[in-house]
Amino acid sequence: MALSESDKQNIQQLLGREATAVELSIFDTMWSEHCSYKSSKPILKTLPTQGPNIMLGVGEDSGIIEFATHNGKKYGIAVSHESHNHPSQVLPVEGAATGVGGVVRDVYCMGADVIGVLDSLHFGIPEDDGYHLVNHIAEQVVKGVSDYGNPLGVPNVGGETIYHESYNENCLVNVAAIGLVREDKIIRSKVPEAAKHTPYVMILLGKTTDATGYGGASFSSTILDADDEQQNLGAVQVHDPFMKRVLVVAIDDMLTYVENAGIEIGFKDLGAGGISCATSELAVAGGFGCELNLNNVPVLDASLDPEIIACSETQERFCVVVPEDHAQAICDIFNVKHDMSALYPGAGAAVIGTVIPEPQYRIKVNGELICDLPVSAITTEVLADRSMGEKIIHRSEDTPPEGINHQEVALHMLSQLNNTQKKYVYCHYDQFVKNNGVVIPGEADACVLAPIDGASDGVAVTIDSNTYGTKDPYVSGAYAVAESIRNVIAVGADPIALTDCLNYGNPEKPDVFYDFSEGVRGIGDAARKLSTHNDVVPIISGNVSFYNESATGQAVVPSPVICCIGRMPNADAAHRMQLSHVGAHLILVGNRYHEYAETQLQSTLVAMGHSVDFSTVPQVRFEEEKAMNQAMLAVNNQQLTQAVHDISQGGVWQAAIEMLAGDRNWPFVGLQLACPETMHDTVFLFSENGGFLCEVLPQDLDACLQVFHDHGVMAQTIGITNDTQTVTIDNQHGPIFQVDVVDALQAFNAKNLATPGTPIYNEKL
Amino acid sequence: MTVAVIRFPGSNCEKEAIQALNKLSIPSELVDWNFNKSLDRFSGFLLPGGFSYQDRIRAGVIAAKLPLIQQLKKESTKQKPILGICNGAQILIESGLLSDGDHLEHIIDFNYVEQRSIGFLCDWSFLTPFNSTHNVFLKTLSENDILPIQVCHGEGRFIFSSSPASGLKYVSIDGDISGQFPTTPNGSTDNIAAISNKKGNALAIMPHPERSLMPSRYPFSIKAYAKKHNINLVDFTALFKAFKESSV
Repeated sequence: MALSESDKQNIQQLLGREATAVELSIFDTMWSEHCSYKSSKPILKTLPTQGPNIMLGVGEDSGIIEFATHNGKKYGIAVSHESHNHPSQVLPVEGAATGVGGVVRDVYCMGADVIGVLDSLHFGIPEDDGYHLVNHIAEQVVKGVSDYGNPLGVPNVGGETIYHESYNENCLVNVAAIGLVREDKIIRSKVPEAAKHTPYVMILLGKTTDATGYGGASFSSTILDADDEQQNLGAVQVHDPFMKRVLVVAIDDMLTYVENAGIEIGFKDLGAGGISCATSELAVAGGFGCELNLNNVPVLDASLDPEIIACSETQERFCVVVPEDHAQAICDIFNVKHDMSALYPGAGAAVIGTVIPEPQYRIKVNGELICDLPVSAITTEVLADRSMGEKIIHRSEDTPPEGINHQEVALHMLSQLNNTQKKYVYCHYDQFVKNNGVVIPGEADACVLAPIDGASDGVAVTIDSNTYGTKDPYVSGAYAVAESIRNVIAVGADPIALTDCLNYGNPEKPDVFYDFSEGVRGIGDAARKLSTHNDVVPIISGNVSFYNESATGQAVVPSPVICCIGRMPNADAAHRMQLSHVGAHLILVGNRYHEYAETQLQSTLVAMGHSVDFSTVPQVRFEEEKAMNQAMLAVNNQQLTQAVHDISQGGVWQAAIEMLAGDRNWPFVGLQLACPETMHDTVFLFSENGGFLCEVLPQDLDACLQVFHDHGVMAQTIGITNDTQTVTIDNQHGPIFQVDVVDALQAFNAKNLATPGTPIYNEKL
Repeated sequence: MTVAVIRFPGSNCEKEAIQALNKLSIPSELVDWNFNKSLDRFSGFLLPGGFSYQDRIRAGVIAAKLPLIQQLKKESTKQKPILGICNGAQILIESGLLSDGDHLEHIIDFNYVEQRSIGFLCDWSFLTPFNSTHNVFLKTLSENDILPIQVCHGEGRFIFSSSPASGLKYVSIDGDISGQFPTTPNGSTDNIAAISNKKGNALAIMPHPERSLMPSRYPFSIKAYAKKHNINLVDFTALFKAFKESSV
């Protein structure tokens, strides 16, 4: 239990008596950082969460943004974004799997159908070449994600894998789930108004309650400590995607029943804090109380203590609040039609409590009252006072490095862990189930789905982060937003919503809390300033994960992870990144600056034994980015481009190679690049300032450049595709270097080639 | 004429199976694993993909023991078309419905490449039919056709004691049938991706034909490669037409 002595005193004061064991467990969960946001709340309030087209903003399990209208019905996209970092470090398969399991529940309980998940995985870098726990965790986390999403039948529609030494003892596993919901089918996580006049009961759905995951929320709100190993293992939940699949199918039937019966219900998933959290939150949110009878909870082991039954985090469970006279029919869907107890002992649906008008949260077991809390006590806002320690941050241009061999740096960079193609990860995820995919992982900057049967509307999704935060935590947040928005723009979609998952160290440390608050400020500024319209791109859901640090107390690099949702009227018009036309122009969009700190150029030079002295990370210039995005979207919509790719980590060089490789390493063209006269070779090739590369046919060139010009955006021709099998880079003095496409692709596929079982379709590699 | 799409606990591709049938105007009905009436009124059967019973013991083996499968075997003797996709294929194989004797002639094992288990693999692959005239699903395909298809499985390696009567093999986009990884993504014997029974009314296919009916949505690289090399790619519409033609 993570409650401090002073917490316990506060509870006693609040209740005017000693709390019972069950009550203490409830407070332990509700007052944990994970559930209460006690450190982060004041900072999070600065984020732009209001905006146009929001159907449901932050505050419930998922946010919902308006997406499309089809056959007279309005549809929304529901998004939830969560971290499961500590569980994944302790038990990587179970931790990562339940990370997926938890976030999809948040979307299902809005009445939505989950159409995809995205994962942002942050792993350590082993200090030597031998077998290492870091590698083991990376492999097992990927297995956990695939072990859950594949059986559940939810496609993986994008992700990122980032490597950094600071994750060696604390990996990050962030997952976002995307759902489709028709507006009239959105279900709220609260007891409905109708309960004032009609008797309502609470039904527990799903897997039989056991002791797994007891104390999970408070475990995630402290530093991982080797002394607590046994307790930590017990706090990790156990996944069962099979039960979830069966449950989701039955829930679908339940929602159809509810629609036909015309009744109002409340629906919530069981996550942190289990039964106690879900039932109390449902009641409190609706302005009611409730009374549970724990004897009615189907348990796997009759000897479980009441506080474990009330608070364990057994997976694959939901709670639904329904009118009493429909309870039997709804239970029958789970217990008779889908016969869940034939698949797992005790699984199914059971009425476990009733809604009561008085604002009191009561739990009985064997007729005895073991919890009797005023609702106001549960919802008491707890806040922790945190202080910040400012940092000195450099924001003037760096001096480009002297005496580097651009060819060696370029090839070495491609083979660095952070830059290699990631098929070795995502080939283990089902990317296609549900058959909604139009742009699949590896093809473009964002995946595009056409989720409404019979409609062309596309939703573009991407998840992004960076490791700029150690030097510049503000830019880390701003850049993550800017990059995710660029990715959506690149395929031709308009960004409509963002979610954030904020991974930081111990908030009690002033420098960490400063990083956090600066990251949030960067996210907020970017969300306010980078909409393609005259409004904001609202943040509709999010999560904070603190206490991510090493055994020696070193925080992970500030890691704000951003998911961006875009909308396009015709999914089939989406742009990919692969070059395929001989004689096409390559256009560079956006200015380049000498800002190299924490870039791939820096890490490559360090890996090659150079000493570097960079102090400024790639800045986000909101005015430039906004104009660039608006122009790029216009060019895409007018179909003046063929392939489009955003410029981010690794700069123009990395982007150009990715455009040659495509998703299958089948290069269709060679490439001749020319560094513009006004640019230094290094800034041309490796600057990570935001921008785009586009393939433009000769007949479209003038019109395309005119659109950029009209928006006041820097766009220039930097190369031409040809039918050779080489990439040449020239400047005004002559050739800088030339490499065979095959050699570049070999470097880019270094990790794929080293990972047995990764499909590579180019025999020359 | 109604095709029964049989949903087992853990099936997860029933929706796209029904969508595929809808696309070809073939009426279908979802039938659950605990359906206890006669299957006689159905004109054909589709067993969709998924992870029935979480692939416990071996993929498909538990579902193959359900009472419904005994009924399905009875329907098979009436020459009704039966298509098992992915986990549906595994269930068909485990039930013995594709064997003619009283013992299993085929099994499907873990993906295994270069002496190593490679786990679940998801990608686009290509298939070509063999002995296609002997199977109701394949008879309108020609032996040189190259059909792009999604592979999404962890257990797709066919092993058999007698060569399958007809079916589909993995092939490269250029038509090369030598079948090294990744052309054959799972180490399957003779590069087999799908097999039929001798009577030719049942087909067990590991990749997903129901999701490969729209050439416009093939991956960009596959379309561009085919265009550059003048390769004519064929979609799986013909396979589903068997359900239409067999209607009594």
